[in-house]
Amino acid sequence: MTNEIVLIAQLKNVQTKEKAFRELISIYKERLYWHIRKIVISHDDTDDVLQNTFIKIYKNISKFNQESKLFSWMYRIATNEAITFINKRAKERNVDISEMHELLASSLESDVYFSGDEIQQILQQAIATLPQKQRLVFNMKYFDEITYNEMSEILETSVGSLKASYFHAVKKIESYIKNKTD
Amino acid sequence: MKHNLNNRKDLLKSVLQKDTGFIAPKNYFSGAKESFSSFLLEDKLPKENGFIVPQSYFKDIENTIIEKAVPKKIVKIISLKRVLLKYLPIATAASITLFLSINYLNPLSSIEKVSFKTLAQSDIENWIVDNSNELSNQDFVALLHSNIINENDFALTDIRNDDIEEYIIYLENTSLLNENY
Repeated sequence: MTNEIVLIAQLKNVQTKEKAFRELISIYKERLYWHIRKIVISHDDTDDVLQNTFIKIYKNISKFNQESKLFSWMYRIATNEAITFINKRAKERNVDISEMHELLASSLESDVYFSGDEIQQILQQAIATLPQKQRLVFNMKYFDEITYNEMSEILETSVGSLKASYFHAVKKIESYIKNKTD
Repeated sequence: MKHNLNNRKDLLKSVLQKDTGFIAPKNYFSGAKESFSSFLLEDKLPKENGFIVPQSYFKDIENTIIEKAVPKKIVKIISLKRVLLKYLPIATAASITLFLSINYLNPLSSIEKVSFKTLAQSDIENWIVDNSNELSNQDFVALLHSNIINENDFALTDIRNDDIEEYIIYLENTSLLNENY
């Protein structure tokens, strides 16, 4: 926590901003990358969104009021950037958002940056069928193992609602997999 | 001792019939199966997602982000051509001024003032020969008139009247007939 306070102070100081920003990227780049990747699926799109996320963080760090943890704030920016990206893509292709997610999941088969086996592919397709909030909650809880409290801070939703979302997500995934494998 | 222990085991077995005595609510297991299926599913599913990244991606991304996010310190590049065009007229003017100052304004200059007196007679004669085309007869008359002290020096007596007339006709210059001269 002390380190985080120091880092934020350095990020807000013009003299030390660049150096601190390098450190920030070094610490969080992988975590944010994987969070974004699970939403936008493709590596190239993730790369774009990750860069935009960090650019936004750099530009808005002065506005960060420390009401939440730095990581939660960054995670929120990354989530918003990724969702905005998907929405934009869906609009460009003239499809609705849920259809867009399914298209992305089905593209994994030919993706050079996907090495998953059949069950991993089915799981991604199952996740793609979930409503946006459930998809986010499932990814954050199941893969990133983020606690409900942290998730509540990032997504600005109550813990109870998050638990319900996760439960419904798991049920839907189970049902999808059963249908696919039976 | 061993015999006694076996007897006790047999006794417990006969009394308890391997039952712990705990009981569960009716239909508990059929309902529980449904409730726990989610957790069972989680155990079956892979935790790895199969996504991979290009080699050295995380190593390179740092510089890419810095390049895009951090505004570059502006280095003003001044074109050499622009500088030359700007300063060339000034430099030329300065050079000319310096040249003129050294040659004409410098009191220490070794160049002597040229006057008619300092010139040798041969120099004057050479100049007249070289520039005779530029001098008119009137120029000669004007010069000679002021410097002829002794008219006899001309030895006019040696010149015949016919020659003078021919010369005047050849020149077609009537001004020489002016009596004032």
